[in-house]
Amino acid sequence: MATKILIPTPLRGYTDQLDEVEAEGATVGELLSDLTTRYADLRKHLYAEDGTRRNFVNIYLNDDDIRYLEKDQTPVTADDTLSIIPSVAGGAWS
Amino acid sequence: MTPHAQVVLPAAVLGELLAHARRAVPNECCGLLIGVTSPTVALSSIDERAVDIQIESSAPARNLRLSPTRYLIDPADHFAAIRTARARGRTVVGGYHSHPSGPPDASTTDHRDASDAAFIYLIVSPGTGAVKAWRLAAGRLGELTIRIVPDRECQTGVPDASDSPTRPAP
Ligand SMILES: [Zn+2]
Repeated sequence: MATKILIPTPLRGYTDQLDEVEAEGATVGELLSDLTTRYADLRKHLYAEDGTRRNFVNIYLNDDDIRYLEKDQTPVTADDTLSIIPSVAGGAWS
Repeated sequence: MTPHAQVVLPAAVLGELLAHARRAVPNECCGLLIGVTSPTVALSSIDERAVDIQIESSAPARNLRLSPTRYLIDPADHFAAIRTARARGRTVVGGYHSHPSGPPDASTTDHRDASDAAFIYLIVSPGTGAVKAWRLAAGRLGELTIRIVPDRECQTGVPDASDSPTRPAP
């Protein structure tokens, strides 16, 4: 069962420039695991060395941030769309 | 610095960015930039090939840091901008933020937090109206040339271009 994953502009360099890819899994966590197996370069951008997801990576299932659902355990179907939204940050001097 | 890369910025969008920056003083404002990058294929690596980034509209975002020296774009606003862009056949080509009390030069924080080369960072100074564009090249943010154009010159050859009004600031 393949679920659509939308890739944001800053991460397309790791998905052969595709803005939309598919991955398999029954939960958000499984989907992301399959995604980063297919696109290995993406892994180090989404996960720290200890395997935890970087906190500047936001994951939306359809319209909702998965932090307000069941996080990585959130079930997914083929009709769902997962979106990866990187945090954009910075600032002024110092 | 990639001398051939150029950011095309409609004067009206610059006006919106500066207005947003002035409303946010003393804090930094931030938001997303929607437009077209051409040719897309040239984005696979940062190099000397000509890459035009055409900005068509801006999407103001909440600054989750609410700070005069820091910004963090609310991911919900980023998500909304991505959806707006996709609905128009466009992409989020970059983000913008303001430096309320300094020049629009990329700071140490901006360098540290910058992500992939396909994303441009526009910085505006509300006091002087100055604007600069930056993009990651060889691990550092390099400045891009900005060409400010009257709106009617910002044509991409694709229907449903820049005639949609941008949504007002939150
Ligand atoms: Zn900055």
